[in-house]
Amino acid sequence: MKRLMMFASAAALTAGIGSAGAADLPGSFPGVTIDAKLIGGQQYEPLYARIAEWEKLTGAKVNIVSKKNGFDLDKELKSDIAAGAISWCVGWNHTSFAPQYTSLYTDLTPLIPADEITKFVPANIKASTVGGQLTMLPRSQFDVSALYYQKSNYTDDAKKTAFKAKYGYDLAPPKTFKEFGDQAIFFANPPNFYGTQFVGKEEGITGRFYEILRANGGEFIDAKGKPAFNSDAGVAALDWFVNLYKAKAVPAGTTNYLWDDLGQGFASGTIALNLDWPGWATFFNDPKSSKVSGNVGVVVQPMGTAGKHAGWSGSHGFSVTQACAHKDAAASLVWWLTNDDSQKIEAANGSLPTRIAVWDWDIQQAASDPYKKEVLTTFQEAGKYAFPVPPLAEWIEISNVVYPELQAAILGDKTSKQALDTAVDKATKVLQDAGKL
Amino acid sequence: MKGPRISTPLLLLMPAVLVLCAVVVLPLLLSLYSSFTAFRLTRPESIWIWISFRNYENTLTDYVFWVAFGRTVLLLTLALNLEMLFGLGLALLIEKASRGQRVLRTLLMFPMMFSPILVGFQFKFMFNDNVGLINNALQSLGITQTPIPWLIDGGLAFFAILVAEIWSSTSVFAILILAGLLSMPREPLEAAKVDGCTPWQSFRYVTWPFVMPFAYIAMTIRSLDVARAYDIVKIMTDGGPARRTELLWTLIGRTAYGDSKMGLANAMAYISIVLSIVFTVYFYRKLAAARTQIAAEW
Repeated sequence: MKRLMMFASAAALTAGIGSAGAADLPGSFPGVTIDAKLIGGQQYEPLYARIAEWEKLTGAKVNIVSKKNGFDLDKELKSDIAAGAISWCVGWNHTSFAPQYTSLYTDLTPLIPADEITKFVPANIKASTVGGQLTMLPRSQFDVSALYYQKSNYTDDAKKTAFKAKYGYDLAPPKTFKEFGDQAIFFANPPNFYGTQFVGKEEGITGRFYEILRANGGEFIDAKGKPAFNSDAGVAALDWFVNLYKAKAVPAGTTNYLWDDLGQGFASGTIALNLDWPGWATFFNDPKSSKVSGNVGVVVQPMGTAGKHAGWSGSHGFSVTQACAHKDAAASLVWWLTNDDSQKIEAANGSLPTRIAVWDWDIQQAASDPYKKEVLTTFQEAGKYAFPVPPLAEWIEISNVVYPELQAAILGDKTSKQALDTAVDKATKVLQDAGKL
Repeated sequence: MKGPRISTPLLLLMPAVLVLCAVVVLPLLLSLYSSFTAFRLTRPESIWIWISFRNYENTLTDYVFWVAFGRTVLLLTLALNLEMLFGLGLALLIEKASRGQRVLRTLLMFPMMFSPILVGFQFKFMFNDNVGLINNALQSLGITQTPIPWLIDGGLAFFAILVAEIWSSTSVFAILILAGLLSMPREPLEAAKVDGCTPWQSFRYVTWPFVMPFAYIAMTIRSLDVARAYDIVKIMTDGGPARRTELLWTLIGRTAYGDSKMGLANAMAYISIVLSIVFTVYFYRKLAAARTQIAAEW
């Protein structure tokens, strides 16, 4: 009943009482202690420094009971669910993991004023919604990829002439995956210089495959809920990786690479094109950390064979547990950590915001810095094509059966079609075992 | 009216029995029970869904599991034998050192002081195809022209993992065999020399039978270690690429925590434990036989 009343009042506020709901936040909760499990890392600390201010305003206390990297925290949260030991209120969440946590976290819709939710980028709110429930508020840690490139490769007349003679079109930063592949092979000069690189294992390769599959007009899971990525679009997507590997346009070790290897690789100046996250933009252009500083350009992610851009994306966020005794205070903390001021702090450090007003503010701040402006406008455009992973609790499990098959095709153990047929069979079995098919 | 009296020895043993039950027997029983259920970490209520032997059937008919099982047995066999050979060699060399034996013994133990995670990172870097020390050395010396994908090719990646395992644990063998050598009485060796035995004969018929029980103790300890090899492999290859270096415990770890299928992972684990038991029983038998032989000969 209390929840219904809150929902009714939130609806009334949206209907016409203006921004009174927002004015009610952060609220007053003297004597309340909120236990929280947050993602740890140096880049997240400036945001957590704002918690003290929230404590002062509300009279509540925040007790951070766990702070780990995302993968370790995921294991801890799953153990908490299994043991029924959920004595804490606010927790880290991520769009790729959120479908697994539906029994852990509560729907935030009744807890956050509706006009506050409309201040977020709609695509980010959509990605944070699982089964019709708003499971988290996204923070300014939104990830979608764009294509970084070394500018000098495109100003060299000899390269331009040679490329045109070989491929029949002008050398310019790639607009399609076909051009991306051509150029990666053209620029490659192994073992000293490679055309591109990709994360070759775990969700990194599954996600990138999923992205190209969508850009090729294919789908991972069809309308009936069945895995369907062994289509022609899927084979073409996997062939893109296979051909690059076969042509030695990527480092031989790429199937073992994770995100850090990619970032360090591009910064080392030995990679021509790098489809990567926004978090690296500052690092790549900093002379202290990168050999390609001053020589970095960035364009929107390429289009697939269907003439579509597609952006596999993810976003960090904060959620409130169903077991929390003070959901109103917990929701207030979640709102605080994702409000305009908080997002400005994170965005100023280079991450992408999820609030409309902070995007505008961020681009305005970058007006005098052409590189930052290029990065932000490109990623804002890339964000328009963003979509999260399929909203399945079994997504990571499916990824774990799919990626060894993708690797098998890339390394030449199987053809793309054979690998994808096997992967679809395995993914189907996962969904059957989970009672979804 | 007195109640039944518990005998004093039983009463005194009770705390130990209770602690053992709480920390060993109960968790074992619970995990054994869960291996017969559809238990998923993210759905705690699934621990009550009894599915009988389905997890065991799935595991026993899973090609991926058996390949990982076979690879673990191969790693175990190669690692144990090579570690034994290198450990024996090192122990014999150190035993011969007339000065600085203590320093050498301490140095020998250095690899054991590193956490397996660090060893994994260290060898991952050394065998990296792009910036790794080994490829750089091979190219600088003109031995190879292109980088060797050490951690990508199945055979080479297995070799790299084997090298890391051997580096980190040969000293277990060396230390134990050295302890055996140092405790060995000198008289039989001197008698062998007087009888005109060659150094090889002295080693084969006098030294080796004496240090054999020590080698088997080291083998038993290390067989349990290697059978549950996880940390080094997790860091170096994580069982990949394309499952080319998948071992039992990387597969079980991913099934339990990545896929959240704890019931299935427990079934895999129980089948895997058989491997450890078989090796342990085998080495204990060898150990007993070696002891009997020493007792008879000495």
